Amino acid sequence: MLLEANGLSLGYFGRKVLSDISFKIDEPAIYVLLGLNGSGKTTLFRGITGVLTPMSGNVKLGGKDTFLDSEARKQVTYLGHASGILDGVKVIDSLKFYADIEDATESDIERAVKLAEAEQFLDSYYNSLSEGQKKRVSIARAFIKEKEIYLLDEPTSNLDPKAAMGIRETLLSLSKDKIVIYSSHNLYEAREIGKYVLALSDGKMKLFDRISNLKSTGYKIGIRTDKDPSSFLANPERDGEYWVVSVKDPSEVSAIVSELVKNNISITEVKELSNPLEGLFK
Amino acid sequence: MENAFRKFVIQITRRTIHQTKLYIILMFAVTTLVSVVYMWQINGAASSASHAATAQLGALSVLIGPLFIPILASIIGSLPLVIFLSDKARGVYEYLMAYEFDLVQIYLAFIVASMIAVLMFVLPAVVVVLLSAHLMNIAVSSLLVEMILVYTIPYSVLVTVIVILMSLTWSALAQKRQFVNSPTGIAPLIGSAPTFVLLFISIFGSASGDIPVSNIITYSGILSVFIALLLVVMVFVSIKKMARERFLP
Repeated sequence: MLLEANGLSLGYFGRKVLSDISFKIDEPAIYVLLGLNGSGKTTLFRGITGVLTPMSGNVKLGGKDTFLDSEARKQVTYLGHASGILDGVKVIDSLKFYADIEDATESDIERAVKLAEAEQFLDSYYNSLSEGQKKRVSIARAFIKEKEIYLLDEPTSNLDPKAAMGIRETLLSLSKDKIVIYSSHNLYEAREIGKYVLALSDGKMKLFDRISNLKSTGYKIGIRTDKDPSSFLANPERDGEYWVVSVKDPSEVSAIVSELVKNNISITEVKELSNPLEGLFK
Repeated sequence: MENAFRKFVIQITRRTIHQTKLYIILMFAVTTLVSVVYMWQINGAASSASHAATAQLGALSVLIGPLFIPILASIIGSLPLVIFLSDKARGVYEYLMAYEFDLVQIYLAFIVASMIAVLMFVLPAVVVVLLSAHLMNIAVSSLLVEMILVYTIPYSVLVTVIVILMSLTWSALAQKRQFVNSPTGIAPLIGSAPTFVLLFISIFGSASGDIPVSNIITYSGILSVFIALLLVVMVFVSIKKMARERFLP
């Protein structure tokens, strides 16, 4: 299903946040939306979902305007920063409310709850949950019905590593036949699961490309060893337990490793410390 | 869409009733107390007065309850605002708008929920007033029925819509929470102010004989018409001030 933004401008109370955003997405994949705080990531999600009135331009899903056509909006699920969970009722009742609204079934609720690992919070009141637990409930709400497009605004924030890993695996699985647009400040996570990157800066779309096409200006490699290897490395720096060296190309790493092994230095870990996505924010 | 909207209205109404039931019960108790006390006191005074004054005071005694009910109705009508503010902060409307709801439907859901909560108070309160009059051997006059039909029920319903519209519109306009220091907080007072004036005119003017009780019905009718006109203005203001971003957390 083709998702396209055409000259989309969005903002609040007459103040423009995003200008002239255009893109076309039709390949099922994870699209990572990156941008500094206040760059308009959430605003773009709100524009795609038709929550905000476009100041100009439009967003079309399968040829239908998402602002004007509720049938188009029903193809999109959206997880924002706010939970959407109702006050004064149990979590399960809140999820049932959304299931009712979306014509989802009991089994849909069970699937979403299982996916978010929120089974043990169903009889709790939202206020009694920790931030991480609240996030799981929010995820359950967002996944209550299967959709064509998933818009997820920092879905792994506040989650513990195990839960975050579970969500990443779910997104990877979903992206085989669905479009997942995913915002994150975690560049390593973004690089790990994203196929495309959309970067926002100064209210504009700065970049839309495959992550694999991004060229790094240099790589930083962290090496953990059993003894001091500095005399065999070019300009090494110490960063915690790592000896950090800069290389122009990843192919240089094997030569460095060979040199250390040849000099009886035992290597316990080699890790890439730089990330080409970082270059977008320099 | 009608189905989703109906489910939303039911959800808001359920939560409104659940979260305001104690308040409704207390208001009901206050109304009963005020009605009974006034009937008892005024009838006591009437027994030592002249025949004409007796008729005037007797009629007035049964009107106090119906005059008093809209004051409390305007307060009860504003209670769903707490749910609105909480839901707004939690992004409920953001997700509902992302689905298929529009702002008018969100407003309507709260108006319906408020009206149901108010009617849950007003209708039993009217019955209690009538029952109390009957048990105290006070003749239920046509004035009382007129008052209930011209003022108590229509004013209670209309003022509820005005109060909730005023509160919703203002709370949506406010960039930060202003609690009671705003029309959101004082909307119930604005809604109940005219009813206080009418109540005082009735008690002091009519009891002293300066104003015939039948005039109170006329004043009540005028007040109901005034509040209906105010409602039309409020609807226009609310529609003009509606903006989707105002419903976002």
